[in-house]
Amino acid sequence: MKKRTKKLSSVGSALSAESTERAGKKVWLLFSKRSACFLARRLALALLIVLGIAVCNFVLLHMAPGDAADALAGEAGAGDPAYLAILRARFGLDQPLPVQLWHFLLRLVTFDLGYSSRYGQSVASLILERLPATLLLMGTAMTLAVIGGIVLGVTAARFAGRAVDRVISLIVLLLYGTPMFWSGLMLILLFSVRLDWLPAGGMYDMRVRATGLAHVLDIGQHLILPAATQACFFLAVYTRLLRASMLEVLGLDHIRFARAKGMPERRIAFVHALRNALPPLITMVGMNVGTFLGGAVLGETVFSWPGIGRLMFDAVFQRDINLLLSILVLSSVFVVLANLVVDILYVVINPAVELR
Amino acid sequence: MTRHGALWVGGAILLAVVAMAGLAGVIFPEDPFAMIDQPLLWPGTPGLPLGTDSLGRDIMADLFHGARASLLIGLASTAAAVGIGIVVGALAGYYRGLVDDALMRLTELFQTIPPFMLAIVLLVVLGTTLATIVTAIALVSWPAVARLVRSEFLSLREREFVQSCRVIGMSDARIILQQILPNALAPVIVTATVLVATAILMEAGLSFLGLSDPNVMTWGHMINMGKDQMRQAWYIVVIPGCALLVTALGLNLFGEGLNDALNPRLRRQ
Repeated sequence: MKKRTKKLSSVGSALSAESTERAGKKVWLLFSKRSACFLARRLALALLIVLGIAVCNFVLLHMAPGDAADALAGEAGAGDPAYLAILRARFGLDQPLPVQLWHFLLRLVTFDLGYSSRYGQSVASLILERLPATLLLMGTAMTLAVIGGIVLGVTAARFAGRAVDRVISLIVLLLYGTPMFWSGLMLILLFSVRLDWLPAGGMYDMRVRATGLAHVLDIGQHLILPAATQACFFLAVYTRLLRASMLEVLGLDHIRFARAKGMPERRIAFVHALRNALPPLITMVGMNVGTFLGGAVLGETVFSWPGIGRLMFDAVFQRDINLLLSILVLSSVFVVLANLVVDILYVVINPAVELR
Repeated sequence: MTRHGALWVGGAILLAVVAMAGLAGVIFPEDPFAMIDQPLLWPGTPGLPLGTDSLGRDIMADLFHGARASLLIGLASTAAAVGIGIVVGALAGYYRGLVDDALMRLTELFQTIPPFMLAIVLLVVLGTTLATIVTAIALVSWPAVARLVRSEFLSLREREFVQSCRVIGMSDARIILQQILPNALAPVIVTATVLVATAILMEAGLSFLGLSDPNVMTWGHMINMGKDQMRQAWYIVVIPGCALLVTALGLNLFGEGLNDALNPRLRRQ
């Protein structure tokens, strides 16, 4: 998508009223004929990309040595060829590859994700069972990171070059260089091994089986460490990004005007400058939300969080190709959707951008 | 910290890591996987400044050998990623049109699978050896370089010096390699330093999951081995983690300093 940004000519308080009105119009425009065209085209393209990814992954995974039958037979301790043949026939692994691919695509189109050879359960129900945990973790971590990133980034830009800015820059550098899984281990070491304040893993206490409010509190307690771990890394990225884009915006005319009017600095920074400095942050958050499932593999492994990432990792080692393929396709759907939402958010936040 | 400070501090850290990697075979010639003493000896034990892990291996020796693996994988995979990225980006940006469309769709395809997931899948397919780990990390990191090089080429190809080359009948290959590429390299070099850090952290993540070459000692593997003894012997996990942190920090500082040195226009910030 190409963006056309009109230079903002009018400045001052009239601007914000006008732009809010225009933003309202633009949101409405999203449902107009032209944007319907845009959305339809983007969705078609997205569908093609996801299909392409599905085929690529299918071919790639079938080049891997060993299949589900091997893994299952290995676990049962039986290498009997007859048994293997029965297993393969049951999973359809004995058919030629193009036939398998065709069946896979047919199933995908009808949203029938098939059967997990390992868990003996339909893939769709497995994924639906695990998805909420990952979404909860992602939502919490991203919210924390965005709020923290905005506060730290704006503060660093307002006091650029001063002591506060340097302290923030140092924190960002440290967080940026820390491997996420290791900082998770360090938090476990400090808060659950040493201090014994928080649980070291899992999503709820298996022994107590709390219900109602107690259950929610229990999950919240288990959520703190994994969410903080993931948030820390993204926080560093966002702070850095927002500081740079705020510095650019703070030099623009309308900021100078607001300052000349005697508007308080904090209001200028958080109301007038922030809005114009947000687009790079939105792009980045969109990218990170899209690829979150990938990073979740590590985070969920460290904290034994029962989410999609952990499921994917198990699928890898159990050669559960059906499950693995479904998760891979799901994660590319995530990426494509996140990109689309970012494009739409651009219009909402900056009325001068046009959908094309 | 002044801008030059970042370059110097980053450079010094990198030099130290390179020295560790280079001296690993000299100071610790024996197999880093060999059991040399009792397991779980704390750091400070005479002769074992960093102690031993749960299998009685010398953590100091493992740390040095790990530096070698980390640097090797980081540098090799970045070199490969930069190579692919330059070829794809240069062709797309210089020829535009159909070539650009095709190559950019390919780039998008690669960017639509979360990189860490793609790396895991590639390692499952290819098996885990040093070479396949380098390949997997390179294959997930090149799209960023390709996009960067493409945007540089798109703007440089319209400049007068390139047009005059075309007027005097210079071949496309010479224009791309001798005229445009040298002018597009500065941001690529800066990105490459950050990519080395990302590659090292990604390798650590992969070996933490058990996806490492079983014959090569890595920092991620050390952390993986130590995570079950965290209650009694936290130093096994803390030491290699600090090494990773310091190395990544050094690379990021170096990249930042390099960025300021190569782009004097940005220094006003």
